[in-house]
Amino acid sequence: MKIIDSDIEKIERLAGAWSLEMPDERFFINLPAKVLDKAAASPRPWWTRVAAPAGAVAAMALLLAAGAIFAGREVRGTDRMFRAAAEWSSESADWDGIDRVLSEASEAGVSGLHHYLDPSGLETAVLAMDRDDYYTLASGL
Amino acid sequence: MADQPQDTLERLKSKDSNAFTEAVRANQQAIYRLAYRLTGNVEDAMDLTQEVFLRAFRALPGFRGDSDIRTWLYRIAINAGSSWRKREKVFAPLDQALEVPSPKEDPELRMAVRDAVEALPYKQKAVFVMHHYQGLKHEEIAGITDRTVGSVKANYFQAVAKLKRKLEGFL
Repeated sequence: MKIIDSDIEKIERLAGAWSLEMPDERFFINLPAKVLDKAAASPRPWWTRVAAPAGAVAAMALLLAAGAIFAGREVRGTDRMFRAAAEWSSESADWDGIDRVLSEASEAGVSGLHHYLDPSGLETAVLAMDRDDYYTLASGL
Repeated sequence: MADQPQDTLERLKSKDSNAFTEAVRANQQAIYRLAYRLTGNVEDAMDLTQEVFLRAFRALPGFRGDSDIRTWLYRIAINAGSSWRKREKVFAPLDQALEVPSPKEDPELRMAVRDAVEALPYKQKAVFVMHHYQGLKHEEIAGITDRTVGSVKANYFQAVAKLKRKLEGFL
């Protein structure tokens, strides 16, 4: 479908029909304290305490399996995957670390994707190796 | 270094509660507005907003201040919104999710727009919401999503094309 400037104007005008609904103002008043309370109650996500050490091991196991599957690939690429996986699995993983992991993975030409789901299925610690899955990977934070 | 002074940055990185509270107060409405467009209703937007700041608090030691804190929070919100979408799968049914619109609004159009935006692929939706509803420039969105300006613009035009098809009856 061809899009011209007048289409954009029309769509942007129509999109304005979906007005914003704000919550009760107490939500904003209490938000900082609520977040700090929640952070204090659970200083780190459960998986950084429980699954991260296990995750590092599991990540290695997964990567070994992946390594077996992709045995034909260059050893150098697998080494990069190992380094990236170890970094992502560490407790100190941060946004820069994630970017590094993605970059390493991308250089290694890896497209596999491995998930850790917690029992509730609500939080995901992800060892993702696909640039398209950037958002999924970052959800582990 | 972005606009936060060095001492503020250091206080944030050390998880100083006063510095964090100031940062939340300065950004909570912007993050809520984004969360509302990503989730489609007030309740989920409140949950997502809280989750964004919780993730941010946990990740503060890794915040280097290369971008300003709002950009960093937007990035967390976009990622958290993606996780939320995967967990929730779909928007809540309209009758539960939508609150009573003001009398001057056309409820049918409002629902149609909301549904059309929701039906967009997540990256297109995120780009459309950030540009149209949050007023961010394509360059800023590129910084937030770590993509090129060209790909952000492409996503925006793809979103507009899809919305045009969905909202044809209202054009």
